[in-house]
Amino acid sequence: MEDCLRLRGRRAPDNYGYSYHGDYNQHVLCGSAVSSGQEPIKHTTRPITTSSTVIGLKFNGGTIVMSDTGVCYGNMLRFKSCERFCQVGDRTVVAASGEYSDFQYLTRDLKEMDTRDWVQEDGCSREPSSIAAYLGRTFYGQRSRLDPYWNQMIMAGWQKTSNEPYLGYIDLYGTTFPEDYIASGFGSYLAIPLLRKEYRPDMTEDEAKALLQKCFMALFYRDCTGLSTVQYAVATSAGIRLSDVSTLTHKWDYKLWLTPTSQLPVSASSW
Amino acid sequence: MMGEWSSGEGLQQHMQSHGSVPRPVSNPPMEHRFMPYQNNGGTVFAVAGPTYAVAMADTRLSSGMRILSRNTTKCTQLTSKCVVLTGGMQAEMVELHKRMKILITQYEHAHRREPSVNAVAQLLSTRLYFKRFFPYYTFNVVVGLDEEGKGAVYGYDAIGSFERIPYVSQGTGAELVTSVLDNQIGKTNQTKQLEPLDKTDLIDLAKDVIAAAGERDIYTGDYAEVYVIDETGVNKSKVDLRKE
Amino acid sequence: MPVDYVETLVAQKGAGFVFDNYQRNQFLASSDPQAFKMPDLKKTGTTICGVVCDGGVVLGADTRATAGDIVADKNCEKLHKMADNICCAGAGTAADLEHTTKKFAADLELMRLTLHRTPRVGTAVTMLSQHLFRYMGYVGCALVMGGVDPTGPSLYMIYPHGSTDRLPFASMGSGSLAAMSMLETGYKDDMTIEEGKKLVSEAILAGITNDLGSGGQVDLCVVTKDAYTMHRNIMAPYPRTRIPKPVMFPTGTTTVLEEVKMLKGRLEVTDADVEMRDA
Repeated sequence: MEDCLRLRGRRAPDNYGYSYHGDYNQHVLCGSAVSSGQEPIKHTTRPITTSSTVIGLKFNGGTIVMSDTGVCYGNMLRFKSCERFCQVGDRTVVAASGEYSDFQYLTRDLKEMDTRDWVQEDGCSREPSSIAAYLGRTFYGQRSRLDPYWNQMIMAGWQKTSNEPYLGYIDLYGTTFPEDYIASGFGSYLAIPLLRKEYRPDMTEDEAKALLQKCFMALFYRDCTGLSTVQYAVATSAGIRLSDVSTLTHKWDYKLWLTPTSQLPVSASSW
Repeated sequence: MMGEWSSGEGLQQHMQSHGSVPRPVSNPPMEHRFMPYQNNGGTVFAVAGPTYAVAMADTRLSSGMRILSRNTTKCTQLTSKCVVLTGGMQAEMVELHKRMKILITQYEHAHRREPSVNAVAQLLSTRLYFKRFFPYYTFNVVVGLDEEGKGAVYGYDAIGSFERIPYVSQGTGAELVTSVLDNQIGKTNQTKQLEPLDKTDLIDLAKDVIAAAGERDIYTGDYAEVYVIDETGVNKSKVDLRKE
Repeated sequence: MPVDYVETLVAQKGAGFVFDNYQRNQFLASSDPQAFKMPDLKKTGTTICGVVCDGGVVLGADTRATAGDIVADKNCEKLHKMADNICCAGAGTAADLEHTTKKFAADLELMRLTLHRTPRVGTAVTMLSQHLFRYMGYVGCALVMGGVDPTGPSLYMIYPHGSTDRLPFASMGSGSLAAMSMLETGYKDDMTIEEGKKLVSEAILAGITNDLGSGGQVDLCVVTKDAYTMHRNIMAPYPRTRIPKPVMFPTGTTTVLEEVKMLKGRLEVTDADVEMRDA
């Protein structure tokens, strides 16, 4: 699996009969990049196909995580109905912002892990915190190879052993922490203030959903890459529920916006 | 804090001067080079007493001008009388603390006893120097009780230089903290010395000091974890700092 | 870079430009770490915002001034009075804000005295934006300006490069996004002044709470047709958590290296009569 991770799904060098990356592994593991004049393979040196905010919060009896469905290609809102959730096992859902291809790769990796677990037929499933720990190490490992997964991930789930909701954050540096409410992307600027003001741990699921919708409305107004179509996943002791896509309501007809500055009398405007 | 590591250029120059170039010279740096380091801020410090030691760390985790979390620990208890506290980059702190715990568990399995604080301190130095040319961006303090039951405080730089000292501070508020500790505990440049502080007063002083750092350092605040390590073991409590 | 022509020009002294500072400027502009670096300026890492209400404008600001990572002033003033009917909230470089707002407050007053008319908000905005445009962003002023004039209440944003915007609600500074989240979710048409004050306080509080560059207290300014009211420190959301015990040092704690006696005898007073002379 580690080889698979390091090579991002390429076949291991041995399969080609020679180590075509020379002493890449050795150098990377020693902590220094390649000094023999060869660049190590890098995948996401800058993000290209990106998605914006994900917001998650714990409520009384579960965790909810919401995202819009937009994925951008540079400054263009290229894909408008992308799902940004990945369910792992029966009690964890991972939602991603950032480079979409990295997320798709990680989805495949997590699903493979899921299959291996299923094959065991031992009735055991991984805790959300274990999956968060696994992803955290994966992200840190990639950043240490100077080839990061360019994502911010929010993990939501239900912790079976302690019988409580779980919510965790991971970013491209390998920063990891659990929290009561988390927002990634532009939401870390625009949604967190709303969450800090209005969050209560004893919220009901509906209240939590309403708060997240309010956050996404503010984001739709101010985030160029934001969309008004959102989707959410809820993790409770019963498992994961993924919602349909819904559209938020919004308002653009404030009185003072109806007259453009250019149509105001000169005396009331500036140039 | 070691300013040398705070910018990408500093690191690059440093690596070049040590013969380990991060990318070939023929290939000019890319426009969007990934900078693997970031400073998540925070202040940690510790003071050694005759039969106890006091350690403090704030719990704010920041990135740029944002507070990512108000309640993320910078401390890990490694043995029954030893704690490590880390400022700098949180991802590296998590990694380093995990590795330290693994190595200490292995030590316990091999020797059927806990390592002494002295041994833990040496271990951390070795771990840090192991990554000499791609350092952990961490600024560490090891604090505990030594084999004679005396308070022990060890301070580090990012690549494993360390020494046992009466008190040390690390992180973004280190300069603010050091000046007070020098005056109140080191009693530098004073001809008439006041009585040394007793345990309660020292803990109070430590709380005042981190609160003061929280007043002026924008990356320090929210809560402070207080560790008092004495013959009863590691005692942990929390105090409020400014949330702004 | 070939500089032969410089020598030629220098040889023909007086015939062309003076290149005395050429090499120095090249050096200053280079990225050489030895080269001169601008000193760190005091910035007001700031949250400022404003809202248009029914019959008036409410502006707000936090009170933190930062120098790098350090809080330079915990209770500075970022709301500047431009005229009896115009208030200006400033974010950016502290010195630029202070001097620019002072200059234009004076200009507006002179204009009022000349024309015998209350200055209009649009006039003040035009003057400021033309000034800032001329300085191409090097005068680091990001402003939210609001006031009431015969055309009614109005609110503008002015960017450091000189662009302006007339809006129902606006925020600026490093905490502008935090403030904007409150404004976007709380703004309504035709709010009363009281509702406006509450919304602006909430927006500034969001900046203080969530943005590390902003902090301290909330300042508000309310401008209506009849009054200009400043509410300084209307809200102090995060008081000190600990007040340290004062430490008393006994007299003589500091080593005395050398005692300097009072200088005497520099002026000698004599009784002798001084002859009066013509100047």
